[in-house]
Amino acid sequence: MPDQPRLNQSGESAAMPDIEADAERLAQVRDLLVGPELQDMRNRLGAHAEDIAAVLPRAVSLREKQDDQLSRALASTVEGAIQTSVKNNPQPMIDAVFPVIGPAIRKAVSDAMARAVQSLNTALEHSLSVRSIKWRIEAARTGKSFAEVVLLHTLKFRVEQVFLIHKESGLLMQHLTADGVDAEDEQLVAAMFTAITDFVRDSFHADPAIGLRNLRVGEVSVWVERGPQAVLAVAVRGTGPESLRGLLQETLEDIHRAHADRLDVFKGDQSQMAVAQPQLERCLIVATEADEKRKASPGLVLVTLGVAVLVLALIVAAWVSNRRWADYIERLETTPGVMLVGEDHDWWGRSSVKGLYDPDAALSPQDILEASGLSSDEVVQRWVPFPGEMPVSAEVFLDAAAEGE
Amino acid sequence: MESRKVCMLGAFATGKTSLVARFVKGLYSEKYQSTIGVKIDKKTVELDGSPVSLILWDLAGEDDFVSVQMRYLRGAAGYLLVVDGTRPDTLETALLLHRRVLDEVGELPFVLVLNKDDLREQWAIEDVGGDLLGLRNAAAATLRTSAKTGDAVERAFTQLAREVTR
Repeated sequence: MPDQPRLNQSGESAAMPDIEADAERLAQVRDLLVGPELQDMRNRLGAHAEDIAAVLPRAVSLREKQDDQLSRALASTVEGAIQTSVKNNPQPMIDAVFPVIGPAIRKAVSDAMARAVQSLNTALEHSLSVRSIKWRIEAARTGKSFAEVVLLHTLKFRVEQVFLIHKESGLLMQHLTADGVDAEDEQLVAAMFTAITDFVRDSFHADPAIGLRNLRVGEVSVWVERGPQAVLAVAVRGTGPESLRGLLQETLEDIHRAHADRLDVFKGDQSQMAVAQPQLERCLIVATEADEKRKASPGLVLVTLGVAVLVLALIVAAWVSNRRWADYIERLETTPGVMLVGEDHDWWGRSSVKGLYDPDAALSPQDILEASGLSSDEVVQRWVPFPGEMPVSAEVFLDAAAEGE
Repeated sequence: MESRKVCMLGAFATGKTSLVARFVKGLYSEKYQSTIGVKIDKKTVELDGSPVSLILWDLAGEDDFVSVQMRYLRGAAGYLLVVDGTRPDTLETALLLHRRVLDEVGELPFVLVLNKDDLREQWAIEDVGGDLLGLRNAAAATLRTSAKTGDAVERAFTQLAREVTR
């Protein structure tokens, strides 16, 4: 019978040396059998690190196509690496995420705002104030949405200066002014502005990452947006809308994304940052009240147009009425058997004619009236037949008419 | 055009503001120094035919009551360290300021200026040719200037411009 390990209280400790001895012998056998090959493989792996580096991207890509095991294997390592990196120094991560997180947040906010504007739009659609009607006409005339027209009427401001400032040194990187704006030395202003914002931030122990965002002196306010390497400040005259803040954020993010390499190496050469001008020009918005006043309001245009049409219509009506009356009078005067004694043409009320007529004539005064296109409602007719026995009242009437002439 | 941020550092009443007052373009009054601790001026110098704008952050002087606001040194490319030649204690203050810059900002090029050179009879710093508490070796250049007569002021700024644009 082969030896069986005896399991008793002392058996376990007795078996241990045997197992260790077996493992040692096994290792010796392994070294004898595959030792040289193992060593060779280790050497080759070390020597071919460069070869592996060359094929690694392709190998990773091929493996990714097969299944997701590589991703799963690396997931915890990558997570750990990010956590360590953020714990050690969060700034590089903040810098990397900065251009991405802004647009994402803005999109969410703008969606919410769009819904809010939609409801506002609905509310305004139901309102019947003179102003909303005026804006509605303007929207129809210009082809803009009603909400847009409402928004346009709330914008009454001008961005007068745009500063792109190096965050670290306060040096000016780029500067733009609106037409007709007199600006002080922009380099000095940029530096002093930086000093003041530092002063305010330190004095009130504000978060260094946020800093001063708005300064207001009378009519002028300075709006400030901060990025990792640059600060965008604009001087606004009047009350800028909240959408300007979004534009500034977007512009600063664009500049950080598009010109990161130049921002990294900026020492003080302004010409290097001239490439950012197109982005900065977008911030030079003008929406002044004066402009709006210069523009004729659509309501006024319509009223003027209405009055003009009315006057024209009256002139035409008067001319037509005159022509028709003249034609009628001429017919009365030239028709045999009718003698016109008096006539009065009234534009607004009823006109009148009076005279004598022969009842046996071919055309009666009523026929003539109808032939002239006039109705008997428009004209008061007082005709006395002749010859025949003229009543006393008719004689008196004719005498009076003759005297009136 | 190239521009660089540089600071004017020194003890109280060493003539920092006088040095810039006559030779630079100013926009802001001196009241800013007593309120926020700094006044900004600009000095444009020609370096090998190219203009360089030095944006001068004229920091309020150090004395027993006022401490120089080191926050304003952030992003500076160099500094002008101003000493009043008639007051030896201002050399010690300059050394202290230089050490504070080293501690808080790091090593920056600087030009050491011994000002008020016009007051020769009141001059109190002995051994002007010596190591000046070690500052001479640390400085990129050491000059005797007079804000009053203008002696060597232009040269001091040009030297500083050369150092900060290297």
